[in-house]
Amino acid sequence: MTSPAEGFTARPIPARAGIGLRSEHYQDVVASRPAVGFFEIHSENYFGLGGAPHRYLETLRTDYPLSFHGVGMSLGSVDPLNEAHTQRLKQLVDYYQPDLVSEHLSWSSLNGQYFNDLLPLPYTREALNHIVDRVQQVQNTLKRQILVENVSSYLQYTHSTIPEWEFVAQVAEQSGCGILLDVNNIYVNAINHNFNPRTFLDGVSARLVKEIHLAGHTVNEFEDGTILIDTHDQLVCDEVWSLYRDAVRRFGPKPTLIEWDTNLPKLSVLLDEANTAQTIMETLHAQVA
Amino acid sequence: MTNTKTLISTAVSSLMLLGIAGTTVPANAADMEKCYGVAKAGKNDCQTANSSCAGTATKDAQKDAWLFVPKGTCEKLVGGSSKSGA
Amino acid sequence: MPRLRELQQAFGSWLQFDDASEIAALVCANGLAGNRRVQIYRNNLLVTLTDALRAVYPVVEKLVGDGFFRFAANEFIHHYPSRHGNLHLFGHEFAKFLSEFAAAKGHAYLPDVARLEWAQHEVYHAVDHAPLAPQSLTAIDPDRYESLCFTLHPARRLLYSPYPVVRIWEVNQPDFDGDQTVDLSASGNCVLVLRINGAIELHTLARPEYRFLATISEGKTLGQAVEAALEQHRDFDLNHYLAKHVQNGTLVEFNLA
Repeated sequence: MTSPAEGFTARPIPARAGIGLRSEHYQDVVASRPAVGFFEIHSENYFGLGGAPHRYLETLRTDYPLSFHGVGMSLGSVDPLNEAHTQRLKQLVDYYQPDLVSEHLSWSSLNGQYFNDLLPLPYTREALNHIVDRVQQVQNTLKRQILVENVSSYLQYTHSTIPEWEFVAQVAEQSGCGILLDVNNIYVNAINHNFNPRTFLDGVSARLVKEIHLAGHTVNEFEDGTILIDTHDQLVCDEVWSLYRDAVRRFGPKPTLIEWDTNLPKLSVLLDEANTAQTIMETLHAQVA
Repeated sequence: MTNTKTLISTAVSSLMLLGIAGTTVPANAADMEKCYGVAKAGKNDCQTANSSCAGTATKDAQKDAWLFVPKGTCEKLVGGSSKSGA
Repeated sequence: MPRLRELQQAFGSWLQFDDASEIAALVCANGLAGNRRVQIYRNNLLVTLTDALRAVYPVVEKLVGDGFFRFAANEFIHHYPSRHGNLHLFGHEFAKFLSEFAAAKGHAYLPDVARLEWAQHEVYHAVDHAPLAPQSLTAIDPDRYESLCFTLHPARRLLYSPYPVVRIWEVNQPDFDGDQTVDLSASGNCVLVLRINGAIELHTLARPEYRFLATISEGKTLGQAVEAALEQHRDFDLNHYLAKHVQNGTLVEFNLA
């Protein structure tokens, strides 16, 4: 990163809608400079040291605040934290000064081998203590607060003793991190594990929620049951929009991200989705005010 | 050796007459040509692949015999001895 | 109640070795059975890593076809598991794997195509570096020019193949609409993979030119590099090639041996 600047100054993310920055949209985004509240990137996509990805990100960073969303830290693993990984993230964070830095409440590696997936944790006291400790290690290394995101899951462990929402809230309360509330993941898990998604919202206090994620999922129906898969490959569904309205009523307007990773549509589709979220926030906020 | 020395002396001296190379100056992002490899920047994401869902066959149980034989554009590679090691 | 470590080991055994004996018992079976549920994660692992390979090795995929590529990827994933949270680092042993892969034995050029694609992948993400300012050479005593050691730009890779890999690569690009036939008996390629303004380019080099850059990249002196090039061809045009590779940003720094 031999850029003209020494680094960037902090730039706060407003309580507005943003979109994920995907390499397929680089040209379009740089040329059109869409009116979004922020861009979010997957941190690991910028772990490379130079080249086009950094040129684009530097260009956009001058005009937009950024959120760095990590997928590969393996926060919940019993392996020691990957020092090289956190140090590279620290370099990026120090340089780009994103307003938000987030990771997932999951694990993805064991004995140095990576599964490159967001594997579910059991919701137990032991796992809670472990993840609180890990979040604190990361915050100490980065010298800043991070957010942790609730993940979609396709199974529950028989020995989990804590409801997911309580687990998520406790991680934030005990470690001092914030919560990235993924409303789609709440809905996916509510269907997959048969709970009321509003109960999840009620279990989290507004002051802990620093960002919201929205995405599309896929419904798979089988003779022995239905399972929702967090595919990030389509429009946000009506039920998730409805749950998002409840979330905005409860938590107030929050930076809200439209996530789309597979079968990426043209930029305007993402911007339309962001607009829908923006309108919901403005409408509900106006009602309150 | 004298020949080499002369060659080098001439080449390095004329190098100093060149301007600064311009091709590697980082371009303004807007000027970057749409190049091969742009999409490569984005392999890390946090979705679950749809084709990985339950009910589909185990993805690593693809033991159909036809899969064991390369059947792509390699059939258009002709001549020479492709069997000898590189 | 299993400890977190035991749970992750049970899950890991399933993901790595297809051994579901322990993990299945730890998963609730409401609706879909436990084994169906853990299968989602195992499938996702294979799909994710296969797609990561596809992104780096599109030409290998096109050459062998989708079915064989998935089969090869599957075997590769088992023999060379991912070691990083960043997927861009996954798959660098694919060329080595293909060279040992019995099912690909009849296609000896495949590992070289894979090496070429990995080189492009590395060059795409490599660190930036300012070009060399030729005027800075005025500080060097002309008597010591032979001892100059140049450094290659980090976003450069040199590669030699006895096969016409550049032609193979070109005819398998998405926008290529000509005749895809390649004569494997055509001469091999000396290739310089480089990045210009963020875009990846492949340049075919003359043999002495390749020898010259390869010797420099090994940390040898300009004198040694010129000797190596002259061994390939006694009329090696140093004037031309030295200027060319300073101007295209390949030679970026120097010091004295």
